[in-house]
Amino acid sequence: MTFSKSRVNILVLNCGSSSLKYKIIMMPSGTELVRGEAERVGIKAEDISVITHYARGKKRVIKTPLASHSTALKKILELIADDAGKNKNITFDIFAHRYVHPGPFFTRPAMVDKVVLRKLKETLRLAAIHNPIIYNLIEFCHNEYHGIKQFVVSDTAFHRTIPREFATYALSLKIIKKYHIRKIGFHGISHRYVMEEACKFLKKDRGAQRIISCHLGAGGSSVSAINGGRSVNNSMGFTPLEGLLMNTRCGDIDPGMVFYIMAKERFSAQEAENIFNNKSGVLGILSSSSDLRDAIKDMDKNSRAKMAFNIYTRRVRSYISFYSLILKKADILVFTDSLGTGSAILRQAICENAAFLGIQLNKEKNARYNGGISNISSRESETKILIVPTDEETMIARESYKELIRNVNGC
Amino acid sequence: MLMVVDYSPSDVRIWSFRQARGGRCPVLFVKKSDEIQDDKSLKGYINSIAGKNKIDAISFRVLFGGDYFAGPTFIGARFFSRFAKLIDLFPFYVPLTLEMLKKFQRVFPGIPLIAFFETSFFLRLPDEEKYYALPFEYYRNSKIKKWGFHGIFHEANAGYFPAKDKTISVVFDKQTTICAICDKRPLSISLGYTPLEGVMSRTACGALDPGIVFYLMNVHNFSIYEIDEMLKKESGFKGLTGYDMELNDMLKLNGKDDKVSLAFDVFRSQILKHIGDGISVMGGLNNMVFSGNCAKAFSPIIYSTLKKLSFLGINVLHLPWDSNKNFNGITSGESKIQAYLNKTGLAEIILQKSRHMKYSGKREKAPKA
Repeated sequence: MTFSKSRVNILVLNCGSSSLKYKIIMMPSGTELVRGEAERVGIKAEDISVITHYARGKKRVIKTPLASHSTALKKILELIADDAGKNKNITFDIFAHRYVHPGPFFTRPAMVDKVVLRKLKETLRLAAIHNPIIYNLIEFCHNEYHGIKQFVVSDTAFHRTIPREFATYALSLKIIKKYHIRKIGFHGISHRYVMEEACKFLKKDRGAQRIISCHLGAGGSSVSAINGGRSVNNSMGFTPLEGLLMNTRCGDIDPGMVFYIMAKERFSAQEAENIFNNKSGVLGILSSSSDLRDAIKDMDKNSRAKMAFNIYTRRVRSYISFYSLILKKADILVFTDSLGTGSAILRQAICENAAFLGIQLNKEKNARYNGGISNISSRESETKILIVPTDEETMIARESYKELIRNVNGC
Repeated sequence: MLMVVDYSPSDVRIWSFRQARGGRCPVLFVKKSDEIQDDKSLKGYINSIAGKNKIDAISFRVLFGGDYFAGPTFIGARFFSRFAKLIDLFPFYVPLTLEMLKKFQRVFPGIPLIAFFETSFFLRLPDEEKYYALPFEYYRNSKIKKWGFHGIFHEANAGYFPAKDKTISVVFDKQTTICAICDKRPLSISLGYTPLEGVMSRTACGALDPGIVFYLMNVHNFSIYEIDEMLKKESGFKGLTGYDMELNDMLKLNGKDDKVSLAFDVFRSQILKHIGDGISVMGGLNNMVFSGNCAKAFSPIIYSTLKKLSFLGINVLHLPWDSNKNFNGITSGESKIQAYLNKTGLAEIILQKSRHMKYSGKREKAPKA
């Protein structure tokens, strides 16, 4: 297959632990041809797995058992082939994957070959839930679809520019060097996407903008400081456990708590890790749900729900304030992902009392938000406050396309 | 005369305050703890410090008071019964301190003994600051929450300003802590339960992704003891530089040695994070106070930190900040936010409060837990 033609269709595969989002994006125009999501993949759930598929202006919902992500992909490719029979433009030339945590490898997108596969295999334990799932899918594509090139785009690469005073943990240098310990940062694909879209929307050169990007998801959340188009800090750390309060992750905590709980409860390290990663955060405080939206619904009558909301917003405010000091105030503050775009109450609480740092929300505009990119700052606000729905798949396609052109041009 | 005692398992530091021209000035005595283990040697040592002076009261710095002690407390039977209930929470500290305080009571039965707690001030921390986001039963069953530290300094620092002011207080000592205070109430504190949280120290790591601890244990087979030792004794400034020296000496290498410069850059970043945190919970900032035993030595770090904040309207004076005053301004008159260096020592703060307690004849009741 050659890429001398003027357009390239990229099938982007974005694996979650039990989901597979996909899109076919035509580059360089960025036109979306197909999108969909396979849900409840590889899990024993009462409800059967389901693929929701959008193409040619139609929605199809297919209920079928999906024992693994590779089974899901096969089914998705069947759906795409079916669409291609009716519209010859619906086809794809390359695969592109989001890779959660490649450790010190892949600070830019990489084309998959045997060497890359071997390196990826070394990173499986860095993100024990996500990495093996994505790796297996990449390996599956490598073995089953020989002629189709694959790219991996790392969710951490955007943060390689975090300066060392923010990326260094105060550990022994021997440990730092031997185990490559540093702040890695996550959600880089999303932070980069909303940064680019925010600058386009405001018609600003991103090289001159100081941006704080809040990726607030129903699962993971992180805040990034971006200066001149480069990430200078991210609230997540070497792993996604550090930083904000999350659905089941504790975020920032006294590291001594790990030892205290292991000793007090006689837990193994694996058991303690399970508590910190899967039983803490919103779920730990609220007990009944790990979804902050449930806490928001209940907080008028449930003190624990109110506490979960207060701790969540307090942590986001804290990082916005810290990053405002690093950036010497932000030009743009962005809210994205499901909670960031979905909850006006949350955005209002986060922006409360932040006028000192130049951040002033227009409450009416905030409450009226109804999709798309929107400016919700008040006229007096020094910082423009924007809501920008994220689109990681489009960003993965953009990055893969750039790398493809670089490869084709041999530079 | 009044005495202030700061006891640790390794040594005992005792300040005596004699009346001198120009006010009371403290004299510091340091003794190895094991040299005054028995009643006789303790009595002999304290009496040798007092000389012919009558001891009016002895005040103690106590690192932890749990939920029981919301302020300075006279040491007696009620104190002991409550303090003993804290053994489970700090099993390495509480029994030793209990034994030492009982010894003082036995040896000096007629002298009022007063306990000042480093954690009392933080009993009024807001809930969203106090609780770690672990399963709630750990708080309920094991009292896992932020207890805070350096409350004696932080409370005193806030006392220089009107209650409504928004103040950030920084204490440079063996640990560095940052506290945001408004309406006489702490709203954030950088150090929580163990000495590992917050800002790095000479040998401890400070803020750390807890995922690193799990990664080293689960993937690289470190034991809990190896990691605990490494984070407490082989990290911080010592870990990043490889130099096992006092921070005052290390400061002289800042800017000359790349590893030392990085260590201080990381240190300043951690401080900046907590200043940002303080501003976020107060919604602004009026004053900053830098205090603690190492504050004067850390003037270059304070200066460079304030320089980074000049965009907020902080106009810091050039070094050196020479002044005979214990509490002196380090920002210019037109600065929108005022900053101060407070050289008042811990013992002097405790002395002031002890005199108030003694002369007012007020015997404070321990609050209900």
